[in-house]
Amino acid sequence: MGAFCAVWPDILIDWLTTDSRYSEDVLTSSREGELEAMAEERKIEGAHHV
Amino acid sequence: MSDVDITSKTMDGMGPHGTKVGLLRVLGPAHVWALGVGIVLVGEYMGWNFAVGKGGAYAALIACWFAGILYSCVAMIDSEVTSTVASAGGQYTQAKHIVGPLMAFNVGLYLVFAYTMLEAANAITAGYLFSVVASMSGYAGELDQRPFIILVIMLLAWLNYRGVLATLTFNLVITAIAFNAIIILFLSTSGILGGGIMEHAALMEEHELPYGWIGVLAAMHFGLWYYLGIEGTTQAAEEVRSPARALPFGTLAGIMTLLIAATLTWYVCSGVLPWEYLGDGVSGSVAPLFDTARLSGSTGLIWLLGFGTLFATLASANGCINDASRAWFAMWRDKYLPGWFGAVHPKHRTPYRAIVFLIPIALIFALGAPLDQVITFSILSGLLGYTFMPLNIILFRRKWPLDTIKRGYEHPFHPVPAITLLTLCGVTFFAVFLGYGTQLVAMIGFYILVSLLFHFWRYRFVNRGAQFTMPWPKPRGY
Repeated sequence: MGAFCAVWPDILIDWLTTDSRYSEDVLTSSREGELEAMAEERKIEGAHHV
Repeated sequence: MSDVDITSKTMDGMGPHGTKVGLLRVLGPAHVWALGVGIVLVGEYMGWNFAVGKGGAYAALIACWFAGILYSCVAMIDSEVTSTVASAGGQYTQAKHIVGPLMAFNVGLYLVFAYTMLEAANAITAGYLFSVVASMSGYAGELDQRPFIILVIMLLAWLNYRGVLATLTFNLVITAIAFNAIIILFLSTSGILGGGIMEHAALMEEHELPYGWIGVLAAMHFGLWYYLGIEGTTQAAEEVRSPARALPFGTLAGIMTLLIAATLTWYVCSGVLPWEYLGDGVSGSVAPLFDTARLSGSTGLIWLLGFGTLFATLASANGCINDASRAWFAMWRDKYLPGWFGAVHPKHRTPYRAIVFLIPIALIFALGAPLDQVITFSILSGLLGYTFMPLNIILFRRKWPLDTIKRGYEHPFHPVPAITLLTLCGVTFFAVFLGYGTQLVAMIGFYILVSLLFHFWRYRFVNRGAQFTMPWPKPRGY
């Protein structure tokens, strides 16, 4: 039960802190394929610099 | 779009289409391998031997290889499709793009149930292992396993909450140790290194197929245990650095590893343990590899396989938390379920609400349900998911032929793997029906009920426009 007492408050406090610090719009803004598109843009941008 | 800065050092993760915080791309092929093999390898350490009880040692070997063919088809089909669907959710996201929302909703539920039930089963097993260690080290009383079950679920959930890189690096290390333990046991007991203790001929004489070919068919149910969960590699699609390369590489390396591990496990255990003892996974051999190590008489092997069993169990539970939370997160993100849960932690970059939401559910099943029922529901959910895959790949090739989307991997001999997979799924459904017909009917009834709920009520909330943001061309014929 020691692990439960140590780990659960850590998760709970972090969750509450995060939810109060950031807006729902930011936290739930993730969309599928976003990072893939982003990686491609990075690649193209890198090619311009070369 | 003025707030988008993809080169920002302070707001990494921002991108087009409004994403301000997304999952982190930090994983490589080794992590994908560790995720897939880590979930499965516990099936080599315990559980597969129920197949021996159903039909004898040879039946378990035939089931091992036929299930191996089934899962090789799963791995090949998954590798092709997921190398183009680089998004969390795995088969759920594939179904959403290729088949339709109702199939996606069902596949998403299959995944969450399969992984959460397997996580609960692993936690129960870990609790049992701690009680064995206690009795072997001289503890006389009856050890309460519940604190250890809670400990395993809470600690692994906490690890998953804090970041995917540490989570799957941990899985990589313990999975590699557990796999190498099987190799070392094989080398030590087969006569390659030192004296061999194998007695295949003596142990199997007049027990080749004790229940005939119907026993072989019944053994297929537990043949799945050798590989159940390898399809979980696709859940890492949004967090690998190079999805088109890492996902097929990790998945196919994973199934090859498991084919080797499964065959060696059968060979080692069936050559040392009598089939009647090996096939009784409740009051006989609960952990056959560990029992084989004990019969070898080597203290080093006993310790190695003891840790191997524990590590395989932890790796499986850890991978299941990772996969269940990604599937749940992806469904919430698209509003298939309430969207509030589809959040990403801005610092740890994990689907933190999905991870926390699944903790009490896993605890309820781990503390309140019997192990065999939990595992059977996990297997049935997995099997329903495999049955969807042939349909998925046939539609994928038809709607987006090879020249329309570049794949990271193209599986050979299409549609032979799809037809083979569908046939083997049919055989396995019949095998499951022989032993767990009531659960099978109850499970299918449950999915029909939730499908009706989704169709007539929940679908109105789905984010229909925003759920498709991948840069795919229009399907052929539309």
